[in-house]
Amino acid sequence: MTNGIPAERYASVDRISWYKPDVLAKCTVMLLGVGALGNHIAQHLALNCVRILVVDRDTVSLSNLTRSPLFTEAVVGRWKAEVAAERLRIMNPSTAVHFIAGDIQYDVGLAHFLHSDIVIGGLDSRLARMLANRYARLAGIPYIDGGIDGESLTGRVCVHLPGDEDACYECSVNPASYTDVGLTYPCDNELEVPGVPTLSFGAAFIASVQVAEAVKLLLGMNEYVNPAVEMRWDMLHHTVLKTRVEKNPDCMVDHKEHINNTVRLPVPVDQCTVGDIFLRFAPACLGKNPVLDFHRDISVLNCTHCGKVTLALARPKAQHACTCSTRLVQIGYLHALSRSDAQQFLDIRLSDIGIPDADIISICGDGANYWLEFPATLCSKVTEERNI
Amino acid sequence: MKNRIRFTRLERDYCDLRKLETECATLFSIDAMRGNPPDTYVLYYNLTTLVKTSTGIEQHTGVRAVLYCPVDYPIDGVKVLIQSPENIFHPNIRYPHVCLSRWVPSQSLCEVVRRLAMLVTYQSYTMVEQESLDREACAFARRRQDTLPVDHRQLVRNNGMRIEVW
Repeated sequence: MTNGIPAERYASVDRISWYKPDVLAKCTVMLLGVGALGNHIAQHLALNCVRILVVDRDTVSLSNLTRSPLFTEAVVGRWKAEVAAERLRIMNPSTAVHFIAGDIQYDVGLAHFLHSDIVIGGLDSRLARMLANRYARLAGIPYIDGGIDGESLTGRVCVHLPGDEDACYECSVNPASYTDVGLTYPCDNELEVPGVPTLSFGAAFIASVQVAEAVKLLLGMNEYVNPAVEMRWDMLHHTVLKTRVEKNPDCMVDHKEHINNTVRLPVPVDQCTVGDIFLRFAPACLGKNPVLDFHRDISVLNCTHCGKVTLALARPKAQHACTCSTRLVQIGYLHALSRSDAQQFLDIRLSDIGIPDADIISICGDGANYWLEFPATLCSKVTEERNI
Repeated sequence: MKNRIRFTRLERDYCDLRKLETECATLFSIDAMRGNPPDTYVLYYNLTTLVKTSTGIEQHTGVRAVLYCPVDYPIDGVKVLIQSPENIFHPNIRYPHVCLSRWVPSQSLCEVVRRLAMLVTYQSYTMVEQESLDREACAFARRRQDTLPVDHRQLVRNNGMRIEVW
């Protein structure tokens, strides 16, 4: 055994000169989406001993079974992320697998990105890809995007490295596309956009390429990775097209923005109040009126019956009720709170606001800024309070 | 973490809004609530809208709203909430939520402010019930098109040009 990996299991691949399962076993990949692509990506990662954090907000449906080898009829209706994690642990008991059955935007704390080495997308929407790209850049880790189309039997892979040198995913996004992805409650009724139809073998092919790129990056073989070059395979006509994605000076993503030097807090979000942040954890050097920034949009809600004002993560279509059972009315939004403004919210726990496990917030004042990172506790549990 | 793109946009928006406020002082004013540069404003419109009372649909002058630029602004669209009147009656409004049109990141806050003015005065509103937030108001507006808008004034520059800041 080396690093918990049974030597016998890897005896044959040990003959591959550049392959290092013991190095891979120390790496963590965040897999966003465990649908058609994600199933195959997850299997390859597990077989190669890479630690995996699986994120998916959906449940298994019958129609998934044509292209998802990790799912069976017996698990229809269960969370995809949870089922995938169970199956991957059976597939390779040496692989550490955690999961979050939740939404990338609302349920995944930024520290999960910060402590992953790579983000791989098995995603099927432009919005989810944009979010994956932004969070990976903030955390300073690569994002490997992939996509497939069963009808034309094509697929594509593109590696986006952090930093300002190369194009990010959003550099190639047409400005008009933002209108399509920017569905905002309450105006827009849910658009029933049918997913792109996919086939298991097309998904398996593209997933394999994504994992190959990930393994190369994890083993430090960066010279074999082409960042910001989209590789597109036409499996029908046996053609490969490589296209450089040019860096867009008008890109909506700040390529230089990133999180660094976080201060790890001793308590998770469900044991920390807004008051704790200001009174226990804010360094004294921040002055008398420091500002706490959640870096998330928070709804300010008012109870028309008892007058209580509270905070809740701004999730689409969320309904909130007061402790007195009256429906709360939204009176505003915020993402930051100064010490003086926070007086009425000091007793609210961050988990009650909806701040996800292992999230990162900041506090600033008098010219100084500190990143505060909450410890992770939920990686193996289903996030129950969701609103999809 | 200071997103330069958000910061630059908010700075520009603030200057443009102040200019608009000066030029349309009789029709509207703003209070910057939070942020430096501000990302949350309270808007006061001295314009006429409709409200639903126990005696029917009546005209009401004065609308107050909150405008918030989210964390991912300008990628994410501006959010607007009506603060008063609570009984505002409009196809695109279900107090406190407002349905402006689809967000385009190139839009400025001035454009949002102007659109909201057109909305509350019934210079613009949806006629399609499935798209509306208040179906009763939508049916009302369709029946009473000849009496609308309830206020013809627009946020215009002193020279009479409609303000279009893109």
